[in-house]
Amino acid sequence: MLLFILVMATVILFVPGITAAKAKQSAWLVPLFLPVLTGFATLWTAWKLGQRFPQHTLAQYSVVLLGKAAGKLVGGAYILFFLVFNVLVIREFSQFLTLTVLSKTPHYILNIAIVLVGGYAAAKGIEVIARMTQFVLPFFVAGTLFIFVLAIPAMEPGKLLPLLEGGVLPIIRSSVTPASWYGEVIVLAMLLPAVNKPREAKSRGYLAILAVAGFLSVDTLITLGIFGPEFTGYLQFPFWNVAKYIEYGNYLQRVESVVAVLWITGMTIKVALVSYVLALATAQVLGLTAYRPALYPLALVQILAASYPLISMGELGEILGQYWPPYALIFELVLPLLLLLVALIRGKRREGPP
Amino acid sequence: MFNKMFNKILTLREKKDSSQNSQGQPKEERPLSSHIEDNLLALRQVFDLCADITFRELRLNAGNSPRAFIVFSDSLCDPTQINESILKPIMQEITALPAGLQLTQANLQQVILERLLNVGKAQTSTDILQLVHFVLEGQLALVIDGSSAAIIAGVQGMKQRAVDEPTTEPNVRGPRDGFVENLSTNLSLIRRRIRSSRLKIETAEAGALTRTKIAVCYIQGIANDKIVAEVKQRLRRINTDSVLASGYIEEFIADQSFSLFPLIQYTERPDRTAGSLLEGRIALVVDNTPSVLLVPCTFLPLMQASEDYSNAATFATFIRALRFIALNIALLLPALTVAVLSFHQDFLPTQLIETLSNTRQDLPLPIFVEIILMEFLFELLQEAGARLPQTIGQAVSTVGGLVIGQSAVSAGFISPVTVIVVALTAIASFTLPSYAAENSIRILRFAMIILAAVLGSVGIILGLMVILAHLCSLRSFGIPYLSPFAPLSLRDLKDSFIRVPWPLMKTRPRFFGAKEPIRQDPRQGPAQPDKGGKRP
Repeated sequence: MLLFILVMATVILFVPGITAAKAKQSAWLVPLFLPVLTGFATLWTAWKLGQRFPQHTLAQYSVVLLGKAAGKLVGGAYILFFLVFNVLVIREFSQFLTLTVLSKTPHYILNIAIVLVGGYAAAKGIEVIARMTQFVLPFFVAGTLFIFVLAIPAMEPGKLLPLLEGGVLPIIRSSVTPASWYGEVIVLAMLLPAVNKPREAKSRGYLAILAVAGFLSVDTLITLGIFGPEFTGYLQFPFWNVAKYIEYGNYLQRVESVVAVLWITGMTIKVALVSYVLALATAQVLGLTAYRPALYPLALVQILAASYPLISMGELGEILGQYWPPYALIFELVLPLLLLLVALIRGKRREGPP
Repeated sequence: MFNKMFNKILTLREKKDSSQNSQGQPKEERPLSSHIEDNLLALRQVFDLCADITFRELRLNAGNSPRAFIVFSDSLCDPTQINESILKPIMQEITALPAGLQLTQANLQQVILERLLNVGKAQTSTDILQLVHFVLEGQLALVIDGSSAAIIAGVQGMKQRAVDEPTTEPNVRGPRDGFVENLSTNLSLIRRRIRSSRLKIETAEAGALTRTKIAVCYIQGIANDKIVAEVKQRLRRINTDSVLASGYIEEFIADQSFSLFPLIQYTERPDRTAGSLLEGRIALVVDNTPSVLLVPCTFLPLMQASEDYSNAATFATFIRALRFIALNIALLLPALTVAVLSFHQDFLPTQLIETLSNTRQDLPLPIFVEIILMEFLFELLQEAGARLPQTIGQAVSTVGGLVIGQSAVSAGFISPVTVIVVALTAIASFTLPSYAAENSIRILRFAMIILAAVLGSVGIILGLMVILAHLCSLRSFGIPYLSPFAPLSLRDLKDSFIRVPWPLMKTRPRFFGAKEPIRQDPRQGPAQPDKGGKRP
């Protein structure tokens, strides 16, 4: 008995989390157009596939569609995708915290902490994760809006001009990264069988993507308005800097702690959700009956991988900004579309349980 | 889905139960004999060395003066009632029966039962063991020669505490009566408030030796039948030799025995119990305990005081906001202090941090140790105060508060900041209306302090997320613990952080599975004067 809103809420919740840290694009228009379309496309594909296989997850229907060997291969690829995805999220988490709040704490401690907390929630199941999201969401939205409102007086609208200076091309080019974030809604393909009102899941999903787009756009707008396009490009965590910039007299200072709180809660839920999806996919590909046994070894792998010491902050930014998005988009959009195509051609659907 | 799960649980349980019954021992039976000597001997054997059980042999003043005897526990029965309502009729008034009524061996028992005994509760029993049970409950058994059935008459007159104000949940404006130890008094306190035949009271028994009576109260048509059935099922499953207080039952029937948060609410207040019944919850009244159990329990009722419903709605809302803030202070303040002072001094404005560090100069202990020490001291004081007799309790607070607190600071051992933090925390935790919730906060507070010492504010947030995950996973009789927040039910928020005025409490809370959702017609306030100035 899962409430689907929650799943979608999670998406809203974690995507701004990443953007807050990584909003590198120099135009606030970026999150509004192309990425929204790719997000919609991913959601639409996942939903269409879900309609054909209402009781199957991505890992299960790929076997039905492509045959045992190829299907398991696709499933395995997705496991790898979710694993790397989660490791990157964990790494981002510890990276951000060591740079801002806890400068002397080693990475691996924070990695262990978040994997433990996320894993605890994941072990409790998707229902618990969904409820947590539902509980946290109002605070999250309120906190973000709070910072937006406080930051607006500091903006200098002149810095936003000239609009569309270099034409439309730079906007399209810088769309890849945010597009891959929106594509994260692909986790829904693993969760649809657990959603209790699948019919509404689609419209809520679109709504969620639009809301995310709105938040990101305002976020970028404010950052640009305060720091200007040149400087924003250099900032690693622009939203953090925006919050740091806010100061009203002696009383309202250090608003960035709010950002830190939002970030940590959002990341925890994200890690919990991805860990759950990862364990579920692993269990289904390997043919286990329960996903929980898969959680523990995966948690260990994640901690070790995330603590891999040779990646510096700059490299992480490069991975996230340049190398990861194309790969991610393959898994988020291309592969699901192919699966859907196969399903359409072979005319396969299955209503019953796997 | 919810229902499906419930059904599954129920069918599982039923299967288990039926299998147990088929294997269980047959119920022992020892019928009464028609010879009085045999019965007397058997009962004397059963009650051997029970000084409080009295046998009184007598002869009835009728026909051939048949022999008879009564058995009762003189500690549980009311002697005047025995004399007036039992002995007097069967020994004296039996001679003045209406004319035309012939007493014979055959109709003697029936005549006594129907015409002579002036007690409200009387029945017959043919089994010795059953009779023994009745006697141990405080009833009187009358056995007559030649009959293999005994008359059982209720003449209970136990000593009990008077109904007085509940000590754990005091109140300013609302009703002041509180539950006592006696089951029937407690039931009367509930029945007085809900004078409807739809208030059902079913009794059960638990504890092989204590044979404690438990009354399951609910309002038919409002309480969810499945939850009622589940409660009864869980009560039936209890297999223990003793139930001395409702706390025993609580741990037997709770969904999880090891949760940090109370999954069953208890209250000493009849008004609160009645209010919960009217919301579709179920009350378990256990004999010999002044605290009544309320199920299902969610987080919300633990934050509500019955006083909220006597106060003006606006004020009650204000108080509730205060209470939620207090909850956060009680849980987080010491941890936050540790985190800020040892990790994030830059989070505070410069002047404030200067003031703080001035008071902390030359202190021998790090803030974490200081806070943990003082919190521990506070817990000691609280426990000492709770266990000591009230007269000595005063001495504890003097020694603890003044001597230790003050002199620890002036000796330069503890910083005044720590004392302020601990005192604030203590006051905040006393604000919580539920003692059980306060206890869970007390444990979690220490966990949070340790987390804060390890990972600073990050540790606190991660700790909160774990608590949230735990709360989200809890269920009490199938009801999610955080309802109506998660899963969200906007309609039911009217009695959560806020309390809307009574006329607007249109519906019962949905999450308890109330079947009759509409409480009242919302349009019943006095007509508002027209603002347009139209006057006839």
